[in-house]
Amino acid sequence: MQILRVNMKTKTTTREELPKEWELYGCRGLVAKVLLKEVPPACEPLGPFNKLVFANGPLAFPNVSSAGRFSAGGKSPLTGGIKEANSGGIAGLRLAGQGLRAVIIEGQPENREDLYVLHIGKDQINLDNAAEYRMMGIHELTQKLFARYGRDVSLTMIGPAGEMLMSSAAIINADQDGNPSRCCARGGLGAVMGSKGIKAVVVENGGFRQEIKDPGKFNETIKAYAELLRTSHQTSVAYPLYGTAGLISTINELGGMPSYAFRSGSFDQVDKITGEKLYELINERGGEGTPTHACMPGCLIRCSNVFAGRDGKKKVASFEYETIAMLGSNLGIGDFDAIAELNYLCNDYGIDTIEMGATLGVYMDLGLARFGDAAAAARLIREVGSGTLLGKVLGEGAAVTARIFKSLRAPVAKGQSIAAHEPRSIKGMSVTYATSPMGADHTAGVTTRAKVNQLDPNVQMELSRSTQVRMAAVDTLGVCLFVSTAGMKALLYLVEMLNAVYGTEHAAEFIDRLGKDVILTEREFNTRTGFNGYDDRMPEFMTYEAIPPHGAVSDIPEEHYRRFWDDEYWKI
Amino acid sequence: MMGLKVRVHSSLNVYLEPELRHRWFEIRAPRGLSASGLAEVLRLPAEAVMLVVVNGGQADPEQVLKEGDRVEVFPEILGG
Repeated sequence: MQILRVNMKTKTTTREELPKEWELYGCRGLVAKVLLKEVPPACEPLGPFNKLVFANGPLAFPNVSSAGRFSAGGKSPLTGGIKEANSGGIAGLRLAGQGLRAVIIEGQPENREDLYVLHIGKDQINLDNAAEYRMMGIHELTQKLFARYGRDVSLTMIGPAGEMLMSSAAIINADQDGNPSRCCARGGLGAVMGSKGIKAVVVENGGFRQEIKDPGKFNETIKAYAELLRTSHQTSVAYPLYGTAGLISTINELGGMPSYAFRSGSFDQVDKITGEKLYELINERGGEGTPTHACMPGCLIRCSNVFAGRDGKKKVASFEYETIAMLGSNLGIGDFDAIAELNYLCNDYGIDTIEMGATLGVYMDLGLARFGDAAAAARLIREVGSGTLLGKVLGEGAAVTARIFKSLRAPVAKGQSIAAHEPRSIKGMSVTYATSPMGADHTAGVTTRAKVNQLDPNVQMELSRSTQVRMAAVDTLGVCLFVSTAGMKALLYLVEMLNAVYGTEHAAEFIDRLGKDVILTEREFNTRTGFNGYDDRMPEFMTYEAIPPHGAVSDIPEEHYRRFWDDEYWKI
Repeated sequence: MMGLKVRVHSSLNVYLEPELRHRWFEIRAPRGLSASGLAEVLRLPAEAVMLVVVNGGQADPEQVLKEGDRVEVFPEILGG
């Protein structure tokens, strides 16, 4: 496999072999390795010395279920630290089809007005002029790019928020049916892409086939892995049926569903927005909607859906838990159509729905708009998308908005908003949000499903730590984290597949070793940017403001945060 | 035996008879049944059950159920 380098100052591209020592590194781990080696930690995230890395994983084969994830990474304008965000869709597999594990975008156009499409084809790599797409929304851009480059390409795009270099800007990928809603959402990486003068990356369907050292063993393991995914409850029943929205009833009961700007962990209108309700509504409407959908070819889990509006026309695909909570319950909105409209706007402008939901929560909590007023929320998101002065403030995210409007309740860690797993009721999430080098990021270590007392502060540190290590490995292999719900056996199959493809002889412990190495690499980058461990903190208000229904605060003992980084544990 | 009022949530409903799905129903169960034991009586896969709520409060898996308890069963979850 190779790495493609694109220099946006000189407009030149080069291909180089992936270093042997990074052979098993993809997605999140490869981002960490490249950043630590090549990016000056003190650099301005939106300046010429930051790099934008796109990567897939070492198991990105169309016949390995859920292994074609696509990562974007760079130094984050939101957190000031390392950032990796990943999504489904087909971009990961398309890169693999071109023989690429990663694309590294360096430098900046001298003329800040320049805008390009990076077009990666079979025999050519071009920077095509994209001036005609300036400030174009994602939905229109998707149609234009498919018309120009053909329907079989992958699309990786930014909207107006990315072009305006906003810290809440996402990078949006199209899925296998062309729906532009698979987001590398977090950390403002859309702004980094905007700062490189790239509106979109288009990758053709190439024919590169990676050598497989032991094809017999590979195929045998794929079969066993598929059988496991077809029989485990979560991957064969829960996700295909209700998607991520299926967790709403449980998480609301746990007190983990942010509502009214993190003032409650259970939502008084929850019955209107459960996974079951979403399923009923999608089926009842028919039209272009469907409750079960795969974002990438070969995925057996199929957690996505297509949500159609009242007219039966596709509105958002997929309609996900995080968005339903952050733009719904967190804003006091208990109406699928209203939430889907906000979701659509964020997708179109290229905005992270989690950061925007937290930001609008801060704004409403100050009484500057009413909770439950979906029209006001839509108006505010349009302000962001059109770059008004207020929009520029909100577009910088929850921390900046709280500072400017004087709220003491910014729900952030390392400058990034907390996601829709309430960290006071589900206390393991306090540890994950506070300690992850990524800032408050639920996917870094979801402890919600662990069968522990979620309210006991004393049992969370070890739980979060081991979960984070495992997730870092899964993210590095470019595999969907939902695979991990099928248990350790699923992860063992992944190791066996690596061995079959690359001729290695790793055992189960490889997963933990890989995860630790990745997190330590990320932490080292953050240390060099100036983080010193005292940044591993939860927002102050969560430490004293008890949240209903359990009256819980974020009270992980200080000493546990310190022990989190014990050298003994992190020895590889 | 004792009577319980039961409701099963979200994806766990697929394991129930259609007429019992997504609503409260009554069952007769052996006395001394625990919260986790109820999953077995309902033939729900144990690994897929995350939370049992009895009369509005989260129950310990070992908690013994009583005549007339209102019991809700929630599935395991991950992220979204």
